[in-house]
Amino acid sequence: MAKINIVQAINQALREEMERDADVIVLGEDVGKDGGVFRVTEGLLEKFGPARVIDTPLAELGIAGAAIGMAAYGLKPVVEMQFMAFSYEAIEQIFSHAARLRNRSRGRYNCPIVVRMPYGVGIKGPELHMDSSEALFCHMPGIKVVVPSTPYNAKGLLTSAIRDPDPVVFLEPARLYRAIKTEVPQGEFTLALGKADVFQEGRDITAISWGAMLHRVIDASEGFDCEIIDLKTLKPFDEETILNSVKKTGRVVIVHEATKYCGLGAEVAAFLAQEAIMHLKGPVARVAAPEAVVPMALLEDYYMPSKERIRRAFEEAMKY
Amino acid sequence: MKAQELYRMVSLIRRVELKIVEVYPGDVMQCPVHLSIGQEAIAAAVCRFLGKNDPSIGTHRSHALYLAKGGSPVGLFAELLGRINGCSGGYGGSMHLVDLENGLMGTTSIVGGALPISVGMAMGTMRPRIACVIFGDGACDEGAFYESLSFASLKKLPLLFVCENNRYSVYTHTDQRRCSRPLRIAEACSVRTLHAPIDAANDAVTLYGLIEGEMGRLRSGGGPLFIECDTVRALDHNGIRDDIAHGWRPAAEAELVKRYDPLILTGRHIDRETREKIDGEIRDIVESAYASALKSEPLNAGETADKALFP
Ligand SMILES: Cc1ncc(C[n+]2csc(CCOP(=O)(O)OP(=O)(O)O)c2C)c(N)n1
Ligand SMILES: [Mg+2]
Repeated sequence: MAKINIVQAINQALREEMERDADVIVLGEDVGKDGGVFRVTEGLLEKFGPARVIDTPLAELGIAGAAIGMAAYGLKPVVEMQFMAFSYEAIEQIFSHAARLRNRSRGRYNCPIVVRMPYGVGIKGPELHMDSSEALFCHMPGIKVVVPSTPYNAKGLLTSAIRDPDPVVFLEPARLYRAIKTEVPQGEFTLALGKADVFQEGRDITAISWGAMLHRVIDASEGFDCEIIDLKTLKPFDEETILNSVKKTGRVVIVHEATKYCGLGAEVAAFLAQEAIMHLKGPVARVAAPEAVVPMALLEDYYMPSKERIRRAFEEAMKY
Repeated sequence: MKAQELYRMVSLIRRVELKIVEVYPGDVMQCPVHLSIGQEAIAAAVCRFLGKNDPSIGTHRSHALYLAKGGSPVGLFAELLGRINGCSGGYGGSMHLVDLENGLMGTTSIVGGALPISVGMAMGTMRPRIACVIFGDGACDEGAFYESLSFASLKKLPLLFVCENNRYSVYTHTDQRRCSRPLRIAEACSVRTLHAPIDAANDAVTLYGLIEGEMGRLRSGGGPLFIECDTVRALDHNGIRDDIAHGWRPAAEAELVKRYDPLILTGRHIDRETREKIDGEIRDIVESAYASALKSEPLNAGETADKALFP
């Protein structure tokens, strides 16, 4: 198996799925000739031509809507938003239509679109280029939300997302794009949506994270007997894996780069309060970003949950 | 006199941008930059018609607008350097400039995001003030473009739309994105339009003369005005590379850059001696502004950081 990075893994997933299934279409701003802002779609136009790799106008709402219309006619569009915050332009189509078509048509048709977008802090971007608004999409019924943490996950999860019959928001941790390489199987390979990974087993603390924060958690866990869970699918999240772990450890630290208020950590904590209260030894802790707009580069490290902040949360948890 | 002032502004914008190009490789500015080189004349000419009390709003590529509106080079440099003396406290960076003293209400990295807001500004501001929004051809692809034109026209607002049409959104040419020129949409909305071809738009003095009459009508309550300026981006979409040399845009673009250099075109209206004198003064201003920006405190962790996060 070859070692590749996340950009290459996603490119591979797109390429292979497009080869297998003529209904898979890629569209977005600069995705064709230019290969996308992060070069994720590089080479696809040359291989599949302009009918299947579509350079669009600079118009996110129109792009998302067009994808929905294509999906209604049996195509499987994969949309790229250049950065997560630009998807806010498209929220009307995603929330008001993509998310609801299955329900609205009483199950007579569905909406198999994937909306890919880079997200998260750590790329020295300014505000609106490093948002982590995953909870927004998790909140809307009818949408699945997926976040890979490694090239291996990226390929397997994206392939599944493309095949999924419903809308999937596929969040790509921009910080990780070229930062890590792992072995990724060539050829067809899927990872089930809705399943978390136990990245590392442990007895004292259940540490739950996803995307780029998984790697921070791994770094911070040295010296703690941590069970590290990589959520991978944020909506619907894998209740069983979380529950099994918490029953064992009784201590929970959730780490995400989004802000805390109504972040996904709140939902996980509420789930545990309901389903695992008798197993918890102490409060469920959340390490998150401060309640502020993402700052410029110099403050980036201060803004992001740091190794130190995560370790402090582990220490606190161990007091119980 | 007017020609001198216009040349001075074009020269200032150029010099500031070139200073950024000079220091950028040293990674002192950890902030993406969208430079205005090649497009300086538009903001320079348009802003001559705007006072400090005329609210304006711009895009990701707004260094020219910021300076032409009267913003200090120190405030811009400090912003890019992430210093507290930056015009946005070093927090927002190149794409999020705010300079209320000079009526720059903000710039935004969301393409098209400024357009609807400018409509509200025009509603909120009192005659004889006017509001101004500057945006690229890419912004005209967004639905908000039409919504804003239609609303502004309906209410006969004192709003100046300035489209800097460099034909590119990143590396994607307008012909791959649009079926017609932006000003056709403005016409369809019954907004008065002016078209400045590149030889006019890249020459601040010519552009000034071209729009003067219509600017007067706008100021005296004639309803919104749409000016489409054909222009050319000299460097990469983002950063300081020469993207044309790298093959990202066709070589013909380099021809335009050379032929329609705003500094040269605007400079033709004044004598060489004056030009050199102005350039010399500007060089000193920019050098000392950069030095002064470097002295400002960086936004580091700790108390400064907390203050920065929660203003
Ligand atoms: C809503 C939104 N979509 C996409 C982007 C990414 N983006 C930033 S600048 C740009 C091109 C804008 O082109 P144009 O408006 O013509 O301005 P120019 O860069 O040519 O000055 C794009 C696609 C963005 N910032 N915001
Ligand atoms: Mg443009």
